[in-house]
Amino acid sequence: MRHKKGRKIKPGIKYCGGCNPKYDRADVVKKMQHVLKDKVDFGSLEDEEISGILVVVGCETACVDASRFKKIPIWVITQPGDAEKFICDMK
Amino acid sequence: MPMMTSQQYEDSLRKLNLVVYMFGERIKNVVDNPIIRPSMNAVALTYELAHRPEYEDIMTATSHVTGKKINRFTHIHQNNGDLVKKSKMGRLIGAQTGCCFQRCVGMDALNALSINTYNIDAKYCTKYHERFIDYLKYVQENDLTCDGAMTDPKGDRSLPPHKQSDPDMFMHVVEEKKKGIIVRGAKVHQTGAVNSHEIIVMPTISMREADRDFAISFALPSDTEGIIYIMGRQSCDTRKMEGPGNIDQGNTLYGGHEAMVIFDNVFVPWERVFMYKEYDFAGELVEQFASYHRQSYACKVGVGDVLIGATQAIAKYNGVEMASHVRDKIIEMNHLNETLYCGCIACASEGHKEASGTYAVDTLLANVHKQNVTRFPFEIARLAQDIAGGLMVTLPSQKDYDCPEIGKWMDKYFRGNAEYPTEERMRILRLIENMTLGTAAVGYLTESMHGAGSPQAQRIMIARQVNLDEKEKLAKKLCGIKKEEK
Ligand SMILES: Cc1cc2nc3c(=O)[nH]c(=O)nc-3n(C[C@H](O)[C@H](O)[C@H](O)COP(=O)(O)OP(=O)(O)OC[C@H]3O[C@@H](n4cnc5c(N)ncnc54)[C@H](O)[C@@H]3O)c2cc1C
Ligand code: SF4
Repeated sequence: MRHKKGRKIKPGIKYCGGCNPKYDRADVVKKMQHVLKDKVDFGSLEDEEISGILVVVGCETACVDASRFKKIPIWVITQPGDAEKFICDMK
Repeated sequence: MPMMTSQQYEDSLRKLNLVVYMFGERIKNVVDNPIIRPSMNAVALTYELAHRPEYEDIMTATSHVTGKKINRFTHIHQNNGDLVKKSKMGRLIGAQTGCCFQRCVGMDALNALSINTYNIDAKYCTKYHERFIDYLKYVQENDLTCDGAMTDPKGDRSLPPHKQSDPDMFMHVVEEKKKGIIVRGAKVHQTGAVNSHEIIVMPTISMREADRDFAISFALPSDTEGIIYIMGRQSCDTRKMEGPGNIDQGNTLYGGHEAMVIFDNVFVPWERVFMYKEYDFAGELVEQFASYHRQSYACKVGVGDVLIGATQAIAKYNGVEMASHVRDKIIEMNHLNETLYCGCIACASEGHKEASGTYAVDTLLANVHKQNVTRFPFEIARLAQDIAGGLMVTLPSQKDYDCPEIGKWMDKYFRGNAEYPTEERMRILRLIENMTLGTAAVGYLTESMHGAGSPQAQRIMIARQVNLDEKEKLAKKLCGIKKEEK
């Protein structure tokens, strides 16, 4: 899913609970925010104008229920590699 | 205030007027006492994490009574997903603190009472469940920490409450008044007692009619008149007085505590009474609470994560991390720890709905899990000590390390792999000492043994829950035995 030219995409971040994460989720998000600061406007789920959901989970179990967000795009980050792919897609 | 911040929690404790004794003296400022403070920090983390987006999915829930977002520690489980999240929360906070964070006991008491009050009402047309729901709303709205107080001193273990030479060995009602009851007795080994806003009292064993005066359950503010706390000692506890960040403390941030709690003729208003002489429900409440609390020992998995991490670090500092037996021992530690995790996830996933609507864990699996907890942390601790080496118990103090005349010798001779500073090696050794025989061993080892019931209590439950006849039938069918037993 690519963003439309000239408009910053605004995903809301939803973390899993982080019971036993295999990588540092907050750190990975920080890196994404830094690299994509000109392209992506990261928000929270409470923000009204989000255009997608970035689900950041600590392992493949991915125990976050994102079913209520059917109408907007969902990106799932399960490992740092997924974050790199997201960065490439957004660039 | 549906969810307090950690600062608001700390401030709320300062407003309590608790009667706390330690080392023969009344403690006036409980919150800032250096021995108690680390345990307060651990409870405070349960508030802090609930406000952090990267943990809120586990740490918070939606109240089934108010519809508001609440801290999971005040939640009544509404489905198996809630039960699974509870197990995950235990591992998460155990790993963040490396110790007992104290808040689960109250959560387990609330959930057990939500089932038990409903069932008593169904049999006796009483109004306990309504009272309980009012109480629950109060706890949720104010985001309170509750002490779950089950264990009585019990006196002679071979005698029931009414046959004890001193009736105060089990909490009992001594007077009935128009507006409530007067109770007397004590609760021992109370986890997090002086970090709690409320104390929820439950009977400690199944009871018969002769014990009806002992079959009581109620909740009170922790600073109610007549309640006295006497802090339990922990091995190496006074090291916490040697200054913040002290190496010898091992865990420089967090800790747990237990206290004995005396009820010296304490008044309980009727609206806070949840069981009154319904002796036939005492056993059910004990079993419900025990099953939930046996699940709660998911915390030991998180604490195990820290001990495994410390062992891996000391293996590097000692220069043995590549040795095959060391690697194998660390794999074994992980195997044991993850086996524990399997149990607490399994009993939650196989949960079921009770008549009250509350979800309860699978009793058999919760007991199997806790039985494993009485063993595996001891083996994990043994392996940690094996890899750490003897220095974890012979290391001189930080004061010696800081002393200009002798510190240099410690720095020289206690260095392992030259890539790492001596101080790091000392800190990790002290952490392993703390968790396997210092203050945190109370929670990681002896509490694993006795907390939520001694090993035999689980074996009794396992014996009751397994269907041996069915297993026998399966075996007989396969080997061609056709005759049914009479
Ligand atoms: C660190 C820690 C924290 C705890 N936190 C809490 C808490 O927050 N709230 C709470 O309510 N409780 C708490 N407990 C109490 C815990 O539930 C009890 O320790 C446990 O139930 C065992 O009781 P006990 O310590 O009196 O030991 P005992 O009951 O004396 O048991 C010692 C041994 O005697 C055996 N035994 C006991 N009675 C009999 C009998 N009648 N017949 C045959 N054998 C018997 C037991 O199986 C065991 O092997 C905590 C305990 C610990 C150690
Ligand atoms: S020992 Fe574990 S389950 Fe018990 S109160 Fe402490 S953290 Fe909770």
